[in-house]
Amino acid sequence: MKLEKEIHGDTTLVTVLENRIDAAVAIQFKDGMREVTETDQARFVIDMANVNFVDSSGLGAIVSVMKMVGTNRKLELAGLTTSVQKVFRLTRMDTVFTIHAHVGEAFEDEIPLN
Amino acid sequence: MATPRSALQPIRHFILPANPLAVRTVLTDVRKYLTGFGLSGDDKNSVQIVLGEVLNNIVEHACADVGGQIWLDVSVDPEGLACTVQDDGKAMEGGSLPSATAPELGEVTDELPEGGFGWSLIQRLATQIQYFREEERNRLTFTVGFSS
Repeated sequence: MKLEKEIHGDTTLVTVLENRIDAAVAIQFKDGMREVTETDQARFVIDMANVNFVDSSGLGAIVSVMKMVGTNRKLELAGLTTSVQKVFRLTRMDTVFTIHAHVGEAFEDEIPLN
Repeated sequence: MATPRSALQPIRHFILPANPLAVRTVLTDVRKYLTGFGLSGDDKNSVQIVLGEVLNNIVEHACADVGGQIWLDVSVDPEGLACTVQDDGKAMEGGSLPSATAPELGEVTDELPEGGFGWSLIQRLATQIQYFREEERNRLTFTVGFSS
């Protein structure tokens, strides 16, 4: 389960490099994200643009990451593909998570370098 | 030229051992099989979502600890993909399908459910779902409806 991490101030951007977050890798995803969230960062953005499939196990793993982050910090998702959006919508998880159409939107407030 | 869906379609058979990686392979194979039938991306996604949940349920429950074999038959009908899934794992608890009610999400992050979504996804996207237990095998039949 390949996760790429980038620090932007107090936000950690995690890019999922796998195509699927499903029953086969749900536990590895949770373990990988546990390492990422065991830091003092205030905000986590998960870029899911490479992920074209999330099943109920994957969804459960993403929910558990939200619990790891806790209510005093932020977890946001970005770049959900159509199939993944469908699963979030059917389970109404799209009302629970902050979802950006693409990862750029999560960093719109950043001051651009000139 | 796309195969006309009104013509009687053959049944395509798949056999797989009950483990998550084999399920992934079969989902890809089914997706490949469905090209050429003129299905929308959304319909193909629905098929993958339903079959993924059904097959992983078998791996995690019916075949948990005992392993096993899964037989998947699919056929493209005008209304949807008619599916028959058999496995030689344990019988479904209580002899019938689990509740289709999706777990309540509630308001509190700590109390968000992490499981139980699978059957509600299946019930939202599939119709005519029937379960049979026959001669040491489970058999589930259903149709994944097409929107187009």
